[in-house]
Amino acid sequence: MISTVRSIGVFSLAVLAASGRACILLIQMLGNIPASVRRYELLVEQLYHVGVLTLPIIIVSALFVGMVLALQGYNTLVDFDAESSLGLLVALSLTRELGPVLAGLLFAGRAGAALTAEIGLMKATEQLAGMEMMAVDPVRRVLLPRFLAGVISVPLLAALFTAVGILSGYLLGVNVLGIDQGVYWSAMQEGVDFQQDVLNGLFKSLVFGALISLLAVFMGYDARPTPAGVGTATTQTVVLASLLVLAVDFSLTSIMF
Amino acid sequence: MNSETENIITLTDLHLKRAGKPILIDLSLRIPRGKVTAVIGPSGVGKTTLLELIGGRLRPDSGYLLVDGLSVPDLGRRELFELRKRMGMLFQDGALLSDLDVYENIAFPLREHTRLPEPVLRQLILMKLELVGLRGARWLMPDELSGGMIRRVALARAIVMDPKLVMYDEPFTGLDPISKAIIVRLIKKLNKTLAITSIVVTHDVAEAIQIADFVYMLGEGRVLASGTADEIQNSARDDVRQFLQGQADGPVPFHYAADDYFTDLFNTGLFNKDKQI
Repeated sequence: MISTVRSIGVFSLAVLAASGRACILLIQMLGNIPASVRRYELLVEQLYHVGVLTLPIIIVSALFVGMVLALQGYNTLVDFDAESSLGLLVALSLTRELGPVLAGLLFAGRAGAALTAEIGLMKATEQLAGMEMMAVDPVRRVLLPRFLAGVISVPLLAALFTAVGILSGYLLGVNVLGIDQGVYWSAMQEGVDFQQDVLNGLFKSLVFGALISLLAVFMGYDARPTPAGVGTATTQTVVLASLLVLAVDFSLTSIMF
Repeated sequence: MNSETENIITLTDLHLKRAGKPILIDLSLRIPRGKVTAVIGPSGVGKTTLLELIGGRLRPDSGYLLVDGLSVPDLGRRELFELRKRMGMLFQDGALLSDLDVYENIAFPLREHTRLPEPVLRQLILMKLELVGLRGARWLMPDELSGGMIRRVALARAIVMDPKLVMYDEPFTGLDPISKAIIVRLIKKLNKTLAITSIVVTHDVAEAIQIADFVYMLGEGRVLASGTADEIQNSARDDVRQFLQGQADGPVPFHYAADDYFTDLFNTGLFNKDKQI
């Protein structure tokens, strides 16, 4: 009994200490932003690795999600003679929830894991220590561009996810299920509010982007410098980032809508 | 000449504990400027830790540590980085950036710290590569290099900013005899032609004695012996002789500290379960 309580205590303290270290890292990174403007090419390179290379998985997933939404929505709505609202249903689900959340989850799995593994491995092979000894700050040179690239990429990827999802819902709804295309778009135009739905959705994805990227670079930087340590850190990034996205999404939804 | 200009590094009564275990105990030593100083001793006596202290990656618990007249533990981040620009360090595994080729690895410190035009950068890099004999290997990636070549590239990178001091962490470990001879030759040659101070931390006695102007032998967190290569080789101390002659047992025991063997062996827990370990 005592040992259970003790292990809970030890675990909680470890989580708190890690959160503290993550916050310090965030402050260090933010403080380095002005100095890193001169080296914008590092950010561009990471935008390619983190953002552009995540595009295929985002687009393909969005295609399927949009079609599934349209199919399921149609099957339910048609019972109530409300299939004219299909466009609204697809668009609202995607802009408010599915776009930011699914883009966040996919980003965590594709780019988050890669970031943690890359940084962890650089630490394990003394590349980060080597940089420090060459008077180069690894936080500024390695971590910051990757973090910023994540923060910038996720809202863009989420917007793309939403757009592609709406289009694939349109293709299925209009071409296969036979809904009038004017009805599909006009229901959307009437029901989706730019500020309430689109901007809030984008804001959500910005928060997810910052959380996932911070978690990913921190886990790599904080990993034990061994093969097992890097492996654990990578797994933890994906698991924790996914849970965090879902939990924060719930909190944001309850505040926003 | 006063001692500060004569010695680039002065350590006085340096004390360091790690995870509650003392690593360095009242360590005092001086590294003469412009010379090759070898720090030898068995694995795990804090030789690499010493380099980390000099480079400011660790802070001592107490004692003084002066590098080029600056007290390293008291330096702020910016001053420390300025000092490190005047130091080069060769890591045991090279620590080359794995996603950059040989050329870009050597260009890395220059690109970070200077704004030299590309043609000047190229000439500097080719000159350093020529020094280590790898000008022809400039487009290779680190994973295409042998262990000896990795260390030569890392060496070229360590000297590309023309440092005053180069620290070598186990430069001979895991190398074949030819590569070892190459590294020995390079350390000597660079020290002479570039007028740098070299600290070679190693447990390869033969190579260390071959190149060092001065040798420190560490053991149990202290300096066990110091002097020129000859003086060390003729040392009368048992622990020094054990290390130099590579004897398995002696003042440095073969066994890691443990309880009495028989008590431990028969402590099966059959009779007293609480005490079994």
